[in-house]
Amino acid sequence: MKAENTSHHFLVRDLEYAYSGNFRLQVPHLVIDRGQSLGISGPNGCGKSTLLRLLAFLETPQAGSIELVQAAGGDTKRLHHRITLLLQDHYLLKRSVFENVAYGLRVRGDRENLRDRVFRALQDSGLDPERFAGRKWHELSGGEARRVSLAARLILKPEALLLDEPVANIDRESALLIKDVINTLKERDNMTMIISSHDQTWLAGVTDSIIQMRDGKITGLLYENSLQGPWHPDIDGLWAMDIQDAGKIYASKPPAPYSRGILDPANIIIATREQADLSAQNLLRGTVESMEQIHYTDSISVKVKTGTTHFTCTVTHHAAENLHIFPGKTVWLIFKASSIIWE
Amino acid sequence: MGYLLEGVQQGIGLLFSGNIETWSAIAVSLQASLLSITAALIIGAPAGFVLGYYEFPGRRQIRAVFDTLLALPTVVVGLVVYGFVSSRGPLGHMELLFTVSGIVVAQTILILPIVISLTASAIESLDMRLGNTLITLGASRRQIVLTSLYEAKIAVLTAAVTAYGRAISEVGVSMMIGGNIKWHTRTITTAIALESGKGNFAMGIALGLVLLTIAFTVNASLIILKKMSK
Repeated sequence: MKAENTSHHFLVRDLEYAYSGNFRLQVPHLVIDRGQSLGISGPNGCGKSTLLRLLAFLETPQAGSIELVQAAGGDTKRLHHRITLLLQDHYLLKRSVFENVAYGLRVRGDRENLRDRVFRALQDSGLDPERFAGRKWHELSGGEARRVSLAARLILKPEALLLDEPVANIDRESALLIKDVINTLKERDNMTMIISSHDQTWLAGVTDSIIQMRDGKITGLLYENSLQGPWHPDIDGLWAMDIQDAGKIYASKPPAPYSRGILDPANIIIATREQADLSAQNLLRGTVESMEQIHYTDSISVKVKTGTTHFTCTVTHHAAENLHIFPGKTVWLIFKASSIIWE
Repeated sequence: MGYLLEGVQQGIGLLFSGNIETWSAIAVSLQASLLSITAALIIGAPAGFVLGYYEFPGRRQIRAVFDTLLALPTVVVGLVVYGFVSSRGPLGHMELLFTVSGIVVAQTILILPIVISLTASAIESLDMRLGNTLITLGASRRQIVLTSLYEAKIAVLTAAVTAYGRAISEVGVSMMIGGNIKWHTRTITTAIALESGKGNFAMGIALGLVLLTIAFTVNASLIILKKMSK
């Protein structure tokens, strides 16, 4: 495999995958860097799981390609020995927790310090090895079973760890523990991570950037509008953040005054006239600074300057044409207070 | 009634006095059936896995054929194998007719559909997520086959026990291919058929008791294994 850039880990080109019905996943271009922690967000059925299964080489693209870039001096192990995916509906083998966690090492013929490594992986996943190692697969709660599945993958020390909805349908304690595990792995092992979730707030806490998906397509980056407080209580139970020379941004109650708010570029509406009687609480006047084709979508990314703050908005080609927007034009940005989510 | 009881008494006596003729038939039966079940599992378990795991054109038709062959009449297998291994048959040079090896070949053919069909059902009933889970954990194709069979071990063992029961209890194949030769190819079932025909009821009953004991032991061990794996 040829590497175009040693920091790149996954290179996706012109990927297409369709299955029964009329669902079609289309990813013209996606680059994931080594050590990056990428979130994939979007509603059910938007193609998150399919994209992850393709990235994990469980499915073969019907068109286009996915390249797993070799690290400089990296060994040429089998693909499935380099990356691993924790499936959304994870599955435990009908054997003990210990054997479930050890399975991946056993199939690699790697039995060195097996007990220590299994115990450490359980510990890393927030499970007390002494209590859990000897349990049978059916003697676990949903969250515990998910963490055993996670431990079975952590023990493999993969180059890339892919997690499909790791916190769906599990208890809060397990969700927080999994968040801690992921953050530890990021810092300690510099592992590439690709994580899907419909819970954007949780996802924001474990990833560096989040791509949004809708109807099988990547619609944009979620992380471009980052609103670092301070936030203070304002009217109608809303909280507000002042932006210099442009007024206030309203949001729902943040977890803390200095919480970072995230605004999905797709949730901002651009208007070319000032609107009255809006249901959305935020209306900001600004100037279009630049416009750019988002290179893996059919959307346009519009950068708007309001006061001293920049906002990125995503609009379709069609909308950009209808609005006659161009750099220098005055526009109004409209978005709901509830569109701002917390990291 | 007294006649029957007397037969049972004499039968037990024959077994415990170590009657060589009786024990020779038992040994041949065990030898043939154990070899044929081993061969059937080595061939049938992977074949059943393929039929139950992969989707390919003609899979349903092949499944239907093996399901039908579950009821294969022993005399038909005997007839076909006889045709092949008799001195005028295409495999006549192998001199399998009237040997224990011949019985093993024919019994293997007889019970192979049972192993294949029941293993395929066992694999089909496994959780759909198993295969993908094993791939993501890095298992090779061979490891996926072995782990899947192990996950379905109770159902696969049930297939093996069912197949073994058929091999040890059949009489048609042993009679036609083995020829019921005393000291050589006489099995429990052929001996029972012959001895009761001759009026030697005691030996028939003794062998019948052994046959029942074997069947019971095999099934009992399956029940214990089922309990242990829970």
